[in-house]
Amino acid sequence: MSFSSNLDLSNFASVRRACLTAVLATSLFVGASVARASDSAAAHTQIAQANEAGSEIWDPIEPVNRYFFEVNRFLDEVMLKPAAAWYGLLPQGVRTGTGNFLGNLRTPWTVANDGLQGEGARAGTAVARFFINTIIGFFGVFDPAKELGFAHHDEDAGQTFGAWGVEEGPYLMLPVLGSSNGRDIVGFVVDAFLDPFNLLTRGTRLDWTPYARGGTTAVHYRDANKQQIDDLQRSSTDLYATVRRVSVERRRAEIRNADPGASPPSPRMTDGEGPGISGPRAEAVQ
Amino acid sequence: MLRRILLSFVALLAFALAAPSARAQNAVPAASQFIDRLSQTAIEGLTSKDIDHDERKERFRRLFTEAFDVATIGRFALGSPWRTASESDRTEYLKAFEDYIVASYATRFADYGGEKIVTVGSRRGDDNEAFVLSNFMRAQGAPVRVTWRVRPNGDSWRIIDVIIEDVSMAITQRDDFSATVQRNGGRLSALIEALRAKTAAPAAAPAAAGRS
Repeated sequence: MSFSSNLDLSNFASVRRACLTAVLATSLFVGASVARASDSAAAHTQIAQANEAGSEIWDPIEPVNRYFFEVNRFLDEVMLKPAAAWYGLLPQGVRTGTGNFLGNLRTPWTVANDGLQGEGARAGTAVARFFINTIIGFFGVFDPAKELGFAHHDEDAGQTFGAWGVEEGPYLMLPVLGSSNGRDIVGFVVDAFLDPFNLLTRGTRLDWTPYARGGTTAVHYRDANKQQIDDLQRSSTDLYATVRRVSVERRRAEIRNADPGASPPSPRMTDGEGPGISGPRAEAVQ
Repeated sequence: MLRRILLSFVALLAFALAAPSARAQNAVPAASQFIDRLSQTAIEGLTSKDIDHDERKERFRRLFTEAFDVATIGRFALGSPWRTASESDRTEYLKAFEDYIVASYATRFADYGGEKIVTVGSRRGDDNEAFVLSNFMRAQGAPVRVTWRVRPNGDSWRIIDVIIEDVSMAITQRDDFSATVQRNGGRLSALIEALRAKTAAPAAAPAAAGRS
């Protein structure tokens, strides 16, 4: 995110940029949903195959990834975990409000990405959520939109690329940032650059807020998932392999925009065979 | 231009409101009932504060081996080393696997705080399999989506996978186990040792604090 200092935009220019992005995104998704309607069936089948649950994860630089995984575990142990423990002392209501507020900040960028993916209905839900929660929900601290039937969802540039059929690329364990892949690392840079709130604050006296937002998000999620992280650390015999599978499957499900009512795609479970164990790793095992 | 944008927002809103709610249907009612009964039995039999740690573990083991197809899950989780393993290695591995699951999960029932599994429907799968969709309702936070993959077993069912928020436990376990086998020169015995170490460890883990 160092490029924010290279671009010395005035406040006015940032606002204009943000407006332009919003307009661009809006017109794009209206067009995109029409254009994609015809070939969406074929495209969805393809994407479903590429992102099938349980399929092989391409991890060509596993030793490097494992090294950074250990670095991240150390950073978690000395920084994130203690910070989350302190944060966890706050009343549940305050933490829920923080999560709601952070989620609301993400919503405009979610709308743009829904649009770019041709997901008109989901974009509408997100627009409704943003207006309801910002106005009635005290700048997003409360989530009255949920009570009105507008369920929360997140989209980002990496998911948009995935919906367009861009493949994951190699699995990557980034220092500090954690699990990613070739596609999502590009998505991350695009997110940091084009997120409307980041655009609004760039070059102003508030240009530190994206970092504060990133840090708070990390602490909030570390606290919210404390139990699950403890369970994984306790029960897995190879934590790296477990975290890799869990994060990849969660990401694939996000990109499929999985319908909660649908049965998940599952491999056949026959004697010691399955799609995930074929390929290069199977040879290494045998 | 502005009017066009406003119009498209309004159109989107209308679209969102009209979208049919994704209500799950019950394609295999018997499978749903199986999960309902199982969660009822688990809450009644395992969460009592009056039973000690060993009793809870034994009750959990009985329930687990009856309701889960341990051999199928264990075989799948091991992956290809299963095919080359000797009969005695297989038996030893499955025993270690069962002990490991019992040790990992039994203590969690001691800290029971009113969580509930509410089935919301079911879907047919391949080979007479079924998926039972449910919500795990926690005291705090959003419900967790849990899908139970079941296979017919006589006049009842057996669970062969638990899919939590789109993450299959069987697949995750297979990655975990095969990484351990692979990083130990392909030796199955290394995995069995690791599972035994994990089986012994939870006794000292924080979750065990609630059982005294």
